[in-house]
Amino acid sequence: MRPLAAFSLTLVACLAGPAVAADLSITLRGQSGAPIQDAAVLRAAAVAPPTAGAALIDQIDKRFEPSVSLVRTGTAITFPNKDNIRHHVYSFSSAKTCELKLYSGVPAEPVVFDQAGLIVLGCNIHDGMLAYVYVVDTPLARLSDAAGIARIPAIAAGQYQLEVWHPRLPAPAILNAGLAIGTTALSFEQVLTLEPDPQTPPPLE
Amino acid sequence: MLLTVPMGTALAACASVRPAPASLYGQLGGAPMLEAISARLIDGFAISPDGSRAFDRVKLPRVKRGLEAFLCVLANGPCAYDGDDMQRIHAGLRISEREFNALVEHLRQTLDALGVDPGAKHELLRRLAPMRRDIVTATATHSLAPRG
Amino acid sequence: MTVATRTLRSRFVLVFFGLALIVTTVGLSVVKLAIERNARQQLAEELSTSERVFRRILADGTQQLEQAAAVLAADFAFRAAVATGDRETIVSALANHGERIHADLMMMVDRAGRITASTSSHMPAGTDFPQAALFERARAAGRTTGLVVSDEHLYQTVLVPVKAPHTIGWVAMSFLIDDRMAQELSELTSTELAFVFKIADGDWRIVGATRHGVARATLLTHLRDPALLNGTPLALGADLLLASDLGAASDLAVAVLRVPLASALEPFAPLQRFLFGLALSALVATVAGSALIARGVTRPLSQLADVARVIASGDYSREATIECDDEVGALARAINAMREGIASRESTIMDLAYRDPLTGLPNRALFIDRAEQALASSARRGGTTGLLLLGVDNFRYVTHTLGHRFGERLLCELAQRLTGMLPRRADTLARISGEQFAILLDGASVVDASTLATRILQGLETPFRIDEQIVDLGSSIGIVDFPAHGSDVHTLLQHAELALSVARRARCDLAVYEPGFDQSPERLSLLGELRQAVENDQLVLFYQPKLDLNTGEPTYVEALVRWQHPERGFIPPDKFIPFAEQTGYIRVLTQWVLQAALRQCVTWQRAGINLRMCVNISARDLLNPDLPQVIQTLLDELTLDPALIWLEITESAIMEDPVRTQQVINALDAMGLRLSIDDFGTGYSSLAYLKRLPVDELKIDQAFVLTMDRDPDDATIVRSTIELGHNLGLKVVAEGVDNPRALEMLIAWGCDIAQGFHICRPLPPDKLESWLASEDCRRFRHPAPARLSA
Repeated sequence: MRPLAAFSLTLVACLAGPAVAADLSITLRGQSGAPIQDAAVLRAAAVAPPTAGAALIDQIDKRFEPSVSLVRTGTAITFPNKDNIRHHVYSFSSAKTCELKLYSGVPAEPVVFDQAGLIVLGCNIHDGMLAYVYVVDTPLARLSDAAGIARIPAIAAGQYQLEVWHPRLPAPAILNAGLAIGTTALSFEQVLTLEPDPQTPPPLE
Repeated sequence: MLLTVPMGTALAACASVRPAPASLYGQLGGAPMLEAISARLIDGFAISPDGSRAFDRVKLPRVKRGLEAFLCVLANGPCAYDGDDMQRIHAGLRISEREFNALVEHLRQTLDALGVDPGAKHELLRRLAPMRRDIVTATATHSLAPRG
Repeated sequence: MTVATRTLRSRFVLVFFGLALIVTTVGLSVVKLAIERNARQQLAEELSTSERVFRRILADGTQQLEQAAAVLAADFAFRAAVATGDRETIVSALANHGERIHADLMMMVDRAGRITASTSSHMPAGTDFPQAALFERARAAGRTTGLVVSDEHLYQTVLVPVKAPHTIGWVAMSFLIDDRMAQELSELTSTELAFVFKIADGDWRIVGATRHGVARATLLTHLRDPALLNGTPLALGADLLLASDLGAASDLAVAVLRVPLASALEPFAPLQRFLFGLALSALVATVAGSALIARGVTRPLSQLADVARVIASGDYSREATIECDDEVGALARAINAMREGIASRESTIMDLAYRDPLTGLPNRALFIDRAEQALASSARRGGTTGLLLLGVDNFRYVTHTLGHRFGERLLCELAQRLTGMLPRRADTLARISGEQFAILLDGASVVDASTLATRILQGLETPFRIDEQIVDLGSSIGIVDFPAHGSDVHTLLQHAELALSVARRARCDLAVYEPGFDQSPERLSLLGELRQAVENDQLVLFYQPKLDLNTGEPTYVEALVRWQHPERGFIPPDKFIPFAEQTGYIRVLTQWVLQAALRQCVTWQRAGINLRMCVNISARDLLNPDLPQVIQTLLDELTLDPALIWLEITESAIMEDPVRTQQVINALDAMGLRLSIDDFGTGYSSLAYLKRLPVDELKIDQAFVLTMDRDPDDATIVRSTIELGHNLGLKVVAEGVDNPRALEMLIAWGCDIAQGFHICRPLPPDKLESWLASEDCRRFRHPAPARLSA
């Protein structure tokens, strides 16, 4: 499994404010200095209504593809079952508890994710099928890339709550409850302490 | 005792003289025996050359539990099987004749190794035989389109 | 059995016993050590094996936990319950699954290490998982197993992640390590078990142990020994211990397996007992066997020692009878050979010692030995024993004439003849000196001895014939009788010798000893007195005139010595002359007589008395080669004409040693002295020999003359002798004329000279001179009475 690191950075929005946009760039690193990828960085969504978006998480060769998704609340995610074998997709995440039996040659109904949160999907039948779905209620959310950089462009000026979500963070980490976004681009680094990854053995130091 | 359960299971499994009860379930040896059969069969077959493809990355404990319940029902045991039927389970897996035959062979060996009564063994196999149609969905040369 | 043998035998036994003891002791010790070492090694290996079994069982149990936990963790409903935080479901599921495998502890641990559900009151929900390091391992590795210590309880624990589908927590299942587990495992591993965990360095707690395990205090002490925790079997006290890690490193908890060292040796105990018994019986057998062998050696040895002792005591008759073919048998045979050799050598020695080599008769030593025995037995009986001493007369003459070899053969013949004449076998005939034989007559009286002696002499009269040579042997026998003539052998022999010489001298062939023969004390003193007599002029010469029968004139005188002893008075010559002859003093005597007689002759010559002097010369004197010189010296001194001196020598004196006497006689004759043979007819002589001697006259022994007037035989002898003498050109003198008839006969037969009492007895010089002038002398002057025709 790819090291999945997702930070979410929530910007606390200060509602009142000029519509000046600035970019926010955050580099996330782990304790050892390694970049954290696929963290969802977002600002808390207070105003944005759920969109009726659509997303897709396919099952290819007994794997979820993509393994990390970032969607707005209200998104309906379909599971095409490309590999056309039986899967029993499930999630126990509090944001969405569901079971979806996919049978070969039988299309399934999409599943609407209407609550914000980090949802972990698995397959009861197959080992190693794991997908993370960040359901966010703000458009101001991005995943960090391989370099650990998450860039949220064109943020209107104001005060935001910056949050980072990651599967190995026990709870969303609020990095900054009141981050002032001005007109200038903001860029900083953040070191996060993640739970150890059970897939990789701990470093020998 | 903690330590003697596996042994007890094995011992029970090895017992060959039993009063002949009516049901196949009883003849086979009841729940412990079915547990042993399914465990041994799945563990053995999943790592064998013919079975490794089909069982690649499949959670075996679940399979074993399902198989146990399935066999129990098949053998007229006091169980309820709430899993999918054989066709649904194996749809899309493109199980070949060869793989299926290998599984049957493994089953035979498992039953022999556990000392199952030959009559019961034959009966079980007889009852399982019709599953072939549901399970085998691919020929050696080309794959069939999944049946709807 | 003597002490020496016992020592040898016991030495034998002791040596063998000692050797066997050493061998068995060493052997048993080696075996014992080897067994112990082997047993320990075996035990250590067994213990190691038990430890491996223990670990396997433990691993199996752990695996079981894992499987059960995994089954639970995989259960969909359970995962749902965990994900949704449904505590009731979680707890009941934990309990169910735990029950099934009889786990002691089930827990649910969340991602933060906090216990969210638990069946233990020690580790209740809400507390942190007590073994932080273990939990970290679980987080890193997914599932893990290890030890959990809580409230001094030790749990073998597995942590299995609950994947839904990411790890949302861990199921922890444990079984308690306690006495019961120790007991279970102990039964399966056949060792005693104790589970201990370390609180701090050197401070251990025992959480579970079997009933018969090491005493807790002892175990805690053992644990202080760092060698115990090396993981190799260690012998401490009476046990073999092996510490087996329970956790990742043994600094947390250890299981101590124990087997008593003694158990290793148990199976060998019968073997050791058997070996010990074997050794013991071997020792006994050794003692018995060596005692037997020793006896087999020492008994024959002591038998042989007895035989040797018997041989040493002189008994050669007992043979050593040992019949073995070994060295002892060889020794026995050697002893027998030695015995026979000794016996034969002793017999030879005895022969040499006691036998005369020439004749084979007993020799002097044996004779004396037997004589002593005979005397002793006679003394006991109160009887008598006779002893004959036979001497061969003139044996020297025989050997001179006929040779030594001949003489020896003669003796042998004599011995044989004598042997044949002995009446009884018990009588001993011995050759006790060159020509003397002794005969021992045990129990015989003098009469018996004399009778035998007479018979012997008769038997010896027959001549001996050797190589065509016929020899007449004359012998004399002296007879003594015990206890009359002596109380010991030597005295008896001495007396017998005396008797023999008397017999010889008296020419009577045998003589019985008379005490008078031997006057030893008297003899000795007599000799002294005689010496004194010579020195002190107690001796006087009397002169007996001899009548010349042709003229009737006394022309000769014979000097006769007389002894005037101061105390005993007049001692006749026959009392001391023989004695003097025997003692050799006769030479001195003769010299005195010669001196005195010659002087007297000179004196008479000077006085005009022309008498020829006749002096008796003894056999001893004849053997004296100086005699001629002595006489010559005297003659010169006295300037005396030797023709005036007549020396009278007895016939027997000449015959004693004819060779030497001849030399002297020749010398005397050469000096011009006259020689006369005295006592003619009584001795052994050969006329041929006599013929060769330069003698001038013959004196007829008075034995014949005295009786010639009565005995016709004697008369014949006298007459014949006169003729013989005349035929040989010798003058004849008749001695012992003691009656006128004899004188007449002598004159008639032409005898030249006469001497005797009838004519005149021996007179001292002055008396003789008187007689010469007297009528007694003149009456014999002739004309002689009618002469018988010559």
